[in-house]
Amino acid sequence: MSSRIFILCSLIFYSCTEDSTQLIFNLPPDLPSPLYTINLRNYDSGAHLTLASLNWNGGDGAATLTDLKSGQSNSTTESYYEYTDMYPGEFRDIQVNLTRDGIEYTDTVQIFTRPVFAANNFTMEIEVVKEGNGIWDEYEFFTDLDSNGVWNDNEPFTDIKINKYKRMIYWTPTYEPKENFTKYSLYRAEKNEVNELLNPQSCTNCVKLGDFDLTDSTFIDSAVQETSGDFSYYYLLETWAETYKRSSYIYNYTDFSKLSKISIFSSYVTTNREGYIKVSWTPGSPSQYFYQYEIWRSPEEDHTRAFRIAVIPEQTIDHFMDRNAESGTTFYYPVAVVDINGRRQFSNYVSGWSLP
Amino acid sequence: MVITVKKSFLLFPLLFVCCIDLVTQNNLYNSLLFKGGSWMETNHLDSLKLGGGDFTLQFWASGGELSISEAPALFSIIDENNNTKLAFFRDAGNPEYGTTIVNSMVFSTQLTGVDWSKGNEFHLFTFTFSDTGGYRFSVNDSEFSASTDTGVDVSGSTLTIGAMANESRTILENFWYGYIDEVRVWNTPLADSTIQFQVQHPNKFGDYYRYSYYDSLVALWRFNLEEPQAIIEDESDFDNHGTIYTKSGYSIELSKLGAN
Repeated sequence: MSSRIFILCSLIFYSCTEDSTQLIFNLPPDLPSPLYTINLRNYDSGAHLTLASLNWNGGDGAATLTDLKSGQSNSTTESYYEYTDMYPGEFRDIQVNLTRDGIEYTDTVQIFTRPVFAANNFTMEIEVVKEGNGIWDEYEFFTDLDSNGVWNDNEPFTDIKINKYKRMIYWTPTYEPKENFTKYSLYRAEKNEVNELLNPQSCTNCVKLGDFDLTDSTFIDSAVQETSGDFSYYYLLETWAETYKRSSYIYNYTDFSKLSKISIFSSYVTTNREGYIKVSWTPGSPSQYFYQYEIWRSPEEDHTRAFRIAVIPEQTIDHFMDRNAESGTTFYYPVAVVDINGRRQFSNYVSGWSLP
Repeated sequence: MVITVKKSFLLFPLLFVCCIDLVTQNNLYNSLLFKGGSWMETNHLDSLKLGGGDFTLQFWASGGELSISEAPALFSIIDENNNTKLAFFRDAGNPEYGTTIVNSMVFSTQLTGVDWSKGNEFHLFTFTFSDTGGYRFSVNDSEFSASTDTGVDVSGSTLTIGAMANESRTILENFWYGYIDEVRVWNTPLADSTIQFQVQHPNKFGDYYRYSYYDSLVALWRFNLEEPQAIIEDESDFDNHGTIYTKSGYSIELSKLGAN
């Protein structure tokens, strides 16, 4: 009897419980090939030091690639091309022309290489230690064992300890791959000659303190320990990758006017391009204190979820084409200008959008 | 044995009481949940009698979870030359923004009061075009953009719901993520007062039941399905039935969520 009641109860629950998820499936007949688009892509831009490639959906014959700055053209029947003659931090606008089904297609893509990765978190701290100099000085007390009124060798004396200023230089390793890395080179300049650090290879009074390995991350400069003051000397660390180099920021050096912020007009960020968003700006006055531009992208009009998408070490560059922004989605772009001290100044945020 | 029969007999009415609501309720579901890779095709817009410049498109819709960064299209109207005459997207990056394409021009708009991340908050999206009054776009009873000199000629175009697509499907992308409760197509520009009424009464079209504008309702897809089906009946008098398609690996889910 109980088993029958159980069966009935089960039937009730089976009949009245919520339905399972109801789904509609209806595969269309074979879908046609998508409408042809040239679909230029620069997947590895910013990934290598001297190489950048681009690819596209192939046309009927050869594609012509033109560097819009130099005017140099190349032709290929492939749907891929690699530029191997670039230098670190170089940007090129490449126009691609091809035909497909009798229709000519033209599009432009920006390819770029990355700069050498500089050492990170380059800092200097002064450690003050009291040290005697190990010799008798005239102002120091001594025990006049032979009562001749003058200090003689072997007569004990009080070696007065005075402040010494040991400059501790620290950094964290560069992101440069081990196979690229050549060396670090550390330089020091006096405060009145700090501009020599902008080009230390040809400086006259700056001092090269040495070359260092990838595993090194600290150096103690005792050569100028008699001099106090945080701002008496400045240091710069170069990271070398083969024959290319990138300087660190100059720690603590702010004795120059901040670079002007960039202002981006709303019309300078595109909303009408297929496959990319172009951000343009007017470069500031040429400055020896310029370090790099940084292009940031954010889904909101603030910095909460912004991330840096490109570094441009050349001050004359005035645009960036973001081909990795998903179509039809609003993104906000500020352009930061960074000086040799590492001070970063963001422009206003301007929204952009690429056509689906 | 007799006792057993009596007890079982007592249980049968209980079964019927439990299920009577299930049996008498015709429409189990209120909306469709699009989860990418799926869309609804409709008749050519000329057959929907939208050849002129006066028409209104309305969508009761909401957003929901989104795992992609490509903007999902609520609908698109693309002509035979693959020009986008009209399309509307939720912004994949910003839950308060929507983007409209009108005659290939792009308008990104902050839709105050809309949060695409909330699937259970339905809104009435209304796109009104008039040869004389231009273009107006409103969400619920708030107007977000208007242009007196923007007309749209949709003759020769197709309306796709839930994707950017052309008639030949050589363009088929930007699939919708979210719920669509109802779609209405009118071959007249609706008045603001009518839209306001509809916002307050999601199941009604207007407060004048003998008003002639009901004749201008040329397509009505309510998605109040009892079971999964690919053909979506047009509940206006014009038999402009829609057809749902799903790409391999995708489906559309029937949902009880809705505007009311």
